[in-house]
Amino acid sequence: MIQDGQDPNARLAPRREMLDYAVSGLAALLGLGALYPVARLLAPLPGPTVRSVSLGPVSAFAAGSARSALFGSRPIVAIRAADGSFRAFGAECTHLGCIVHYVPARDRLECACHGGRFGADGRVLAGPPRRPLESLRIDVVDGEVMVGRA
Amino acid sequence: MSSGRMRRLGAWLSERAGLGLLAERFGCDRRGRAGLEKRLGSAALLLFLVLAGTGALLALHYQPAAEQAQASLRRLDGAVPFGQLVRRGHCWASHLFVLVLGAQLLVRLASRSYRGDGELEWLAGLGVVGLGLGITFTGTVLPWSLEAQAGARVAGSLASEVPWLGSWLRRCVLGDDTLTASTLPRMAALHLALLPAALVLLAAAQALFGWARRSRWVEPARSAAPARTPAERAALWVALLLLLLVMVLLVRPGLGTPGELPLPTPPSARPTWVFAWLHGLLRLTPRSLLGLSGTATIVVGGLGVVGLAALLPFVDRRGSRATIGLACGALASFLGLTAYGLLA
Repeated sequence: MIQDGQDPNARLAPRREMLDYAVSGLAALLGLGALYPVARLLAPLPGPTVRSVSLGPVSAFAAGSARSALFGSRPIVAIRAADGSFRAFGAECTHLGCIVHYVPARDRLECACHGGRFGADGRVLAGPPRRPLESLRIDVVDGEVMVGRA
Repeated sequence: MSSGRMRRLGAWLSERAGLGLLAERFGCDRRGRAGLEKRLGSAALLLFLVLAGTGALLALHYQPAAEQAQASLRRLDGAVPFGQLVRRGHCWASHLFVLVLGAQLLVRLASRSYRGDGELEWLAGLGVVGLGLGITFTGTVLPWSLEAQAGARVAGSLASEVPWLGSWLRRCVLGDDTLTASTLPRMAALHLALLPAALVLLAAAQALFGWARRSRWVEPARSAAPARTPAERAALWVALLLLLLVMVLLVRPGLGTPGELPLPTPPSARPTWVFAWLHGLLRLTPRSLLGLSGTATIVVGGLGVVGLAALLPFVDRRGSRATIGLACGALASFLGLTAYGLLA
């Protein structure tokens, strides 16, 4: 009930202020709540991991050559040395992720992007990379070359 | 049609469509007020319209899937009537667009146009340049050539070097921890919708901030200058369109080397001139610098430079003349690194 001489607006002011706070808080909560699913949708979790991948029969893999394949979604490179032994690495340059290629004449792996050079054992020889190539396990199973996690 | 009728038609159109009012509101109706910065803004607007138009036409034929993207662009070049012309127009307009945005930023810096309550306008301008670079980069990935894939890989790796947010940002850019077939639709969505929409909103905000600022600053001496004629207003756009036409007719942009994972990155993998400075910087930087990897130093340093640029109007309230030297230094560094990046 409004009494004589009392300003109705002044009486309602605290209620209005509280309503303002409630609405602003709710809007902020809704905005922040929407951010989480958007952030998760923008950056999905990585795909399923792969245990091993086949590179085909040993007989088709010549000595002194290399072969590229996908290990899940990651590119890999396998080298068969002149003595017939195998080595396998993740093919992404450890500098900025370009895909390296094997140069048989120099027996090394090279990155065309920023000049990274790796030995046939994956170690850094030259250029900006700091870490060696990721080493992978390579086996011959029933005459087939299989690459798996080291 | 006689010139009198043309003038009457122009006046009718201007009155009905409110063009005169808009021009007056945004302060480009009087001779002298439209300085170099505004002319560059007008050029950027025209180029954005060309990009939006040609981009919409290209989107009718482009297929944003890893197996089809390159083939759809080759079909567009070879079999679709005027397809190559539209692609050339889109490509060269994007080069000019970035050039104009960069020039506008340098002019703003040198002329200290952030003075007099221009903080928000300056920040929005920085954002527009950033979004313009983002649109250009995502556009270079869309042909999905081996070179384009290498570019996306490098961007993902650079994003992963951002402190605290690195791995999340890399997944934002690539759609996974590494480049996969899902990277391309992501780049297409960014290039076709998200980044252009953000750019339009930010550019509109920038124009609004600029108008609000100018409305607080009355310039009686200049406002007395005679109005520019429609031909004077159109001259810049006509000249720019002619330049674009010459570029479109003379130079055909390449589509890169077609190929899918896991083919190695070819030696031809070089960024467009817009990002050649970064390529040069990455080649020049040693493995380790200031206790971080060379790449991490570049990313952290780059973020620092952007942060300082954003703070400039708050720090330099009076407008120091040193910004002229800063603009010249930035231009010289850009040109030097670009030359090195292109030749390295």
